[in-house]
Amino acid sequence: MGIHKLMSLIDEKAPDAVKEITLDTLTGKKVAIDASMCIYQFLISTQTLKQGFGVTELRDKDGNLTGHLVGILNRTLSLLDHGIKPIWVFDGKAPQLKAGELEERKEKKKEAKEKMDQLMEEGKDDEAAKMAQRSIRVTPEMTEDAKKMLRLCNIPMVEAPSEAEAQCAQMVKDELAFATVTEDMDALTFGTTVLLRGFGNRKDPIRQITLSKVLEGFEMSMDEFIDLCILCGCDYTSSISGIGPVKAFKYITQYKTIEEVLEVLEKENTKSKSATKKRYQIPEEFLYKESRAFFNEPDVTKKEDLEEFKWGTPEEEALTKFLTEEKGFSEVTVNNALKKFKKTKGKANQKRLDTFFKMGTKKSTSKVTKTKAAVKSKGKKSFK
Amino acid sequence: MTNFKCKLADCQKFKRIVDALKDLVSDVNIDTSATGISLQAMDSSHVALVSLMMNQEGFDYFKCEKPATIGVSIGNLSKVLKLANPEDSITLEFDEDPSCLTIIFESSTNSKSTTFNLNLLTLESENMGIPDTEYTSEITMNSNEFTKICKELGVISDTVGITTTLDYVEFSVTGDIGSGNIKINTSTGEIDQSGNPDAKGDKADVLVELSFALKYLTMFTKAAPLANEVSLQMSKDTPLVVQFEMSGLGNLFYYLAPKITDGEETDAS
Repeated sequence: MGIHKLMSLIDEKAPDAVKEITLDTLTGKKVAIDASMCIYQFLISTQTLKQGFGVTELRDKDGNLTGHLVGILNRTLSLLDHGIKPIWVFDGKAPQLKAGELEERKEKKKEAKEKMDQLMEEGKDDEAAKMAQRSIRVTPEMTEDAKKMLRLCNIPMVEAPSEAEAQCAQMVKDELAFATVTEDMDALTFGTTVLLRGFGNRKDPIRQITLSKVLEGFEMSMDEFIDLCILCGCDYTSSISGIGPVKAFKYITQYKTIEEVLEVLEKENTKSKSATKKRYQIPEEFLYKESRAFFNEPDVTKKEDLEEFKWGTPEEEALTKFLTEEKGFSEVTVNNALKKFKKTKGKANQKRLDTFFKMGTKKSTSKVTKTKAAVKSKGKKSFK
Repeated sequence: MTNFKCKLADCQKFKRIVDALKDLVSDVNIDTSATGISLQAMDSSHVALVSLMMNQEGFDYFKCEKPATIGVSIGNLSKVLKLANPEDSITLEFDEDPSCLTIIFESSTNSKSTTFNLNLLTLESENMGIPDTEYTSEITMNSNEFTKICKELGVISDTVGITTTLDYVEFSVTGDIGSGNIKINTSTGEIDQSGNPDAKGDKADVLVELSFALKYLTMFTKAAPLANEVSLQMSKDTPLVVQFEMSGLGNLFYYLAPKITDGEETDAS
């Protein structure tokens, strides 16, 4: 998913680009959320394992999974409660380029499902649960349910023509939202100025990644950055075996473009002694040009063609009816959610001081051995 | 070498100032210079800002060799201040390139002294450039009265509307249980109204009409013990300024971004 090991690369080479924040700091802002990515997260986190029953999921009477609805509803409420306005963005048609990747994922899911059944029979519940996570499939009906629920909540929603994270990035570029919320790092490759990660985990802080600072830290132009991402391994083409993020970084820094890097790799391959096994295996169909073009010009809806975003109050009756009668929610859950909706009303109306005053930064001159930043970075993994 | 040293005979004053900060901000950069001590800090959601200026004239002893900026945890400072007795004096000092702030409490009879070295932090703080503004309405009232209004209305609603005219000032709330207002006439002298009425909006008589989060106003009222009077400065679409003048010691300013009323849409993303 996303760009292989890009986060570790950023932690290592451009630590200034990452800031750990709390939801409070986003008060009054709008965020574009990659709904498709969230749906998976929510489905995984609502799976439970019961001894003797196997893996159970939240389902409605027709057997459709509903864990994602609970997740989206709660996420929306938690954002609104902090005065943050969410815009949910759904995947559209998968780009042709991604077909290979998708086929592979489908295959993996099938395998996982088979393995899960097998493990279950053997009574290895823990391992079966892991396989169950991998085997989750999101059906079009489930996505439709989510859209319908958001519509009834009067929370804005965008159906991307293609990739959701690309659409999010475009909306951030168009200043319709402050940041893209996704775990998918390729939102940066699509050019979102700010990426927010880590919403799924309540224990860890949210990480805010600023694209301009990533480029600064990497000492790269946007074009070079895109090439780097493709070399690291993206969803749209298979990658060169023998090239990991570290080598990709080194080569792009030195040679700037994939074309140049490929030439160097070819030379190294001919130098290699063993004739049977090449050092770098460049895939026959290395679609870097197509991937590059897609990152630069993805299929997205621009500002002019989007409806104006409005955050309203939920249509209580219709929402209750939909969730309780069709989706197996208890009435108590829905009523609590509606109550929370009411409580959040007006919270997003708070303006921020930075819209009025100019901001600058200032650092303490005091000499301190144990700085705050150092304490915070303690948990960071260094890149090997 | 000591770079900075100051002393206040009444440590309660200092304690009150820290109390007035600690709900709003956690870690702050404090600037020291020959003219005094100052700090500016925002709350984590960037909605409110506090700006403190303590003039050197207000101290019983004040010396600053070189301007410095030290990073202090207000929470920890507040804990250390609990070591003081009510009658104690307080001395603050730090060296050049300090790693800690030395805080000394001494009893008035010099019979007991408490010393604590508070570790400093290296902070990158956001500094706001606040433009000079001529406010349409400036009201001055008893600080305890203001505290009372905020506290009582805070129970009913999380937002208060403030409307001022030349004749009265109105604090209004709407909550689940109903709506109401507190109206204070300016003629009785309980509240003083000044400012620049020429800049008022199109509505007749009304100088300003703004909404604010009571949560923050209530935090600001923690400064009420520092001053008898509080002044509120307001203009349309501008942050509210709440000023407490601490007799002789300087000023404590709070800034609060307004809330937009329903129906209005903001472009700030």
